[in-house]
Amino acid sequence: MSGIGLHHFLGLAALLFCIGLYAVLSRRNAIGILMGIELMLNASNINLVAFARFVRPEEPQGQIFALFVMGLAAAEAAVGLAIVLAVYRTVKSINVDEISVLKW
Amino acid sequence: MLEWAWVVPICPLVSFVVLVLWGTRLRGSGAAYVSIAGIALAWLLGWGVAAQMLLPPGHEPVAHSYLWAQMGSRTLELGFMVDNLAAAMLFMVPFVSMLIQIYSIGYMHGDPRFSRYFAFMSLFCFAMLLLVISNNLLQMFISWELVGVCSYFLISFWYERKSAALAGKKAFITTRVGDVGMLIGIMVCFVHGGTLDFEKLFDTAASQPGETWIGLAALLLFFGAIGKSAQFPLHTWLPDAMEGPTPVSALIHAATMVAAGVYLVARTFPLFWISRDAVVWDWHMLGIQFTALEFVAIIGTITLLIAGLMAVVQSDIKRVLAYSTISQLGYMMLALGMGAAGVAAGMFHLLTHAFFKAGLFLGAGSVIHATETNDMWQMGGLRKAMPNTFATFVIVFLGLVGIFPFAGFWSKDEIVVTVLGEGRMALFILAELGAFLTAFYMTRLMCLTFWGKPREAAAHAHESPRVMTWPLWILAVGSIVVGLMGTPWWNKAHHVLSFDVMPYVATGGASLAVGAGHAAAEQTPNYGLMVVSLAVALGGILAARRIYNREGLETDPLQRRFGLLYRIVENKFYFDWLYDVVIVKGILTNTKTGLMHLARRMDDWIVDRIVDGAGYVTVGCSVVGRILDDYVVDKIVDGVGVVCRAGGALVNIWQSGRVQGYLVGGLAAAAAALIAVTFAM
Amino acid sequence: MTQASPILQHIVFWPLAVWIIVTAVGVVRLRSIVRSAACLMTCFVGIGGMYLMLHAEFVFAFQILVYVGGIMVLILFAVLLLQRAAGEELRHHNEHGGLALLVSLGFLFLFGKLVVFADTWQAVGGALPGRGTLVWTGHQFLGRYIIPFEVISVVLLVAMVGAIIIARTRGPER
Repeated sequence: MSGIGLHHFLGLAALLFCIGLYAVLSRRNAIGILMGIELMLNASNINLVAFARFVRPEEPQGQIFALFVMGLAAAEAAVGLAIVLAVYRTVKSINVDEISVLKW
Repeated sequence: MLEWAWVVPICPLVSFVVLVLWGTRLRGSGAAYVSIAGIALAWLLGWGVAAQMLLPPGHEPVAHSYLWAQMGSRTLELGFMVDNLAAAMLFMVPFVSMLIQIYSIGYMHGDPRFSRYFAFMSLFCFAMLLLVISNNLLQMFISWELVGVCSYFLISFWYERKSAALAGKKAFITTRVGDVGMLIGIMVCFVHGGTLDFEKLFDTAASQPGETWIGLAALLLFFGAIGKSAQFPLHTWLPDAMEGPTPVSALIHAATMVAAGVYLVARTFPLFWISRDAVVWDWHMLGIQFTALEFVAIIGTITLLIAGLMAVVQSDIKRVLAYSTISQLGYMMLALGMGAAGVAAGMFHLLTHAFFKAGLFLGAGSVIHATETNDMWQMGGLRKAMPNTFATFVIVFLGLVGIFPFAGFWSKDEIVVTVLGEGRMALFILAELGAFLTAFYMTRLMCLTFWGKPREAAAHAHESPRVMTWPLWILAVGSIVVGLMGTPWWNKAHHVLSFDVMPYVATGGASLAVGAGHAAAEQTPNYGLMVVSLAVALGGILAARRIYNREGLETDPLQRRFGLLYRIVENKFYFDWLYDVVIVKGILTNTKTGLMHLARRMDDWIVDRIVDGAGYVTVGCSVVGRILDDYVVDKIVDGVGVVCRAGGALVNIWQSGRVQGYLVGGLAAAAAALIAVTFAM
Repeated sequence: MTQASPILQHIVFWPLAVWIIVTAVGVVRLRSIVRSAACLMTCFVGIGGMYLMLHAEFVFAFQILVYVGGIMVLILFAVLLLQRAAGEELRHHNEHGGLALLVSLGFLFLFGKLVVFADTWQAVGGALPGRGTLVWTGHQFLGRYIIPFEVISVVLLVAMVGAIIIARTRGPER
């Protein structure tokens, strides 16, 4: 039998991405949405590393890119949570359904 | 000149139009001058035509027609004709009209509707002159009605007075009754005679002398004359017509319009003459039968008597003259009823009567103007205060009464001679009786008005202005002159006005009826008759003088003497009462069955119902409209709103302000698009 | 790891994959936010295992250090701070739940069709030695990718400062 190929990892990553997407679109809790974002970022990381291994093994870009993504994900998580805290102080809730100031 | 005869009526017509359009803008007596200009032109033309026709060497009669309508083989025309008869009228009518209009300047001075008066006067002159020169029955009827309308307008000129308005109505309606007969007569002529043109009609009648339609038509046409000339039994309107201004009474109800009836008979005389042997009215029970011609004579006689009697008991100066007019018209009808010989006599009397009756009326007007009352019992002694009026009044008085050598002597004498000539003894006596009455009541009038001590109103009287007295003189002199046209020794009038029988003895012949030609027999003066007439007249004068020429007369002595009789006469033989009860109250205004009530009922039940029905239909339509509006239109409009709201609500879901919603939407669209593209590839 | 026999690869891969997916679903669908956070943590660990399979040791290490050690702690702090506010979610997903699922499935389908089962990628069999190690990665960072390395430091610094500013309580002196 053949081993684990590229498409296995791609499929996994796709699935993970969609799960994260579903979380972003449907969770009420603001932190839950952030968690979904983290999932999506991880899924893309998997993709990057898989491509680095299977398509261009000699190039380092794949893994370096993934590392940078991780760093940025951290920064984003920090700022995002800070925003959630700030919003909580104003609206007294982290239920995104109640934070609907964008509408007219 | 004769070809231009049709211009004669046009002149006053133009005045009328001018006055209707601009009359009220003319200052002072301007309206009168316009009107008089018109009638003066007519007078000059009229005298020109008359001169050409009547003075030697004379002229053949002239006639022209213009086609108006054609119905199969029959035609309706408009046209004019001038023969001796018409020429004589053209001599008299515009001249007298002009004098009366000049007089009116003074009489109507200061009246607020001055221009309207003259407008009507002009219209009347137009209509009367049109009547005179008409050459067919239709045109004559049109102008006949038109003069009637003008009479109505002018009688009720001072319409603020209820009595004046009522008098106008009465005059018009009463003459209308006669006009119905006339119209039927015209139809008979049209149907049986095939034409309305005089010349052709008479020719047709002459060619079938035994036909009954001729007499019937003559009789029916005479009904019109009864109405217009105030003969018995349609005489009741003329005394009431005195409500109008006195010049109106002079012109219309003395000289011209009422004479139109006589003129009609004279004009259509051939019909009477041809049917003179045909019995037209037959009351077997009473053994009375008469021809159309007979009928004319009898009506004339009855009229002249009852009018004469009624004149005796009047206290209003104008009413005396009104009844006198009716009486004299009766004389004229009597004359015409005597046949071919009487036509000239009757017409001659018409001409002289026009002059002296107009003079009498205008003189009375002068008196009324000065004393401000019509009541003779308030006058007196005016011969000193109003010398001009008195002098002219005397002249025309003598003319009416028939004293030699004044006008009436000659013309009345002619009539009486003719009556006697036909051997009608009974009628002769009655005519002389009438003459006696005429003299009696006229003298009574003179005594009460001009003699004696002045009573209340007469105390401050003074003579009228020259514009009023000069026409009086002209008329007085004129009456003398015209009268002299008919003396037995030089009977120019007879020559001119006599009826030419020749064409109607033989069949065929196409000359007009009254024209150049000699009468059947020349008249030799009947001196005995002249003396008798004079005696009768003088007798009347003296009788009246004895009764009335006393000082301090306040009431009529006859009243005491004749009590009941006096009262009957005073109530006009209860004719007015009869007409009022039977016709007015009985037929017209009766609350149960009257015509007016019927009309009112029709209005209530039918017309009002229709109008209400229309209202209900409208309301119904509007109710339907409202329902449609509420349940259909509103629903549609609401539906649009609902759709909008639903659409908005639909969209509203996505406008929540919540990012997740936006994301879902955007991503769903993207996914859908990408999938579609994927599958398309 | 890919040098090993196929069977071994499968034995390692599949449980790990299942673990990742299950915990991911747990993150998404667990009612309690705390439990979601815990699931997320274990998910991250599983993903790290995947990195090991893919000859990316430094990435694996970094994953554990940063994600599990850093971000998860951060999230846990936030969760604990706001636990009272969050409460139990009565309804797990919001009103767009169904549509969100659909959208996700749609994208899944899209990815499947265009990416996973596409023929464009030419997979190479062997892996090269020496790639993905710590030393090698360090060489990359300080050699070829020095500038992005410095930039991301600045980014992290800015993020840190920004987060502090955003999240600090407004004092009465304002």
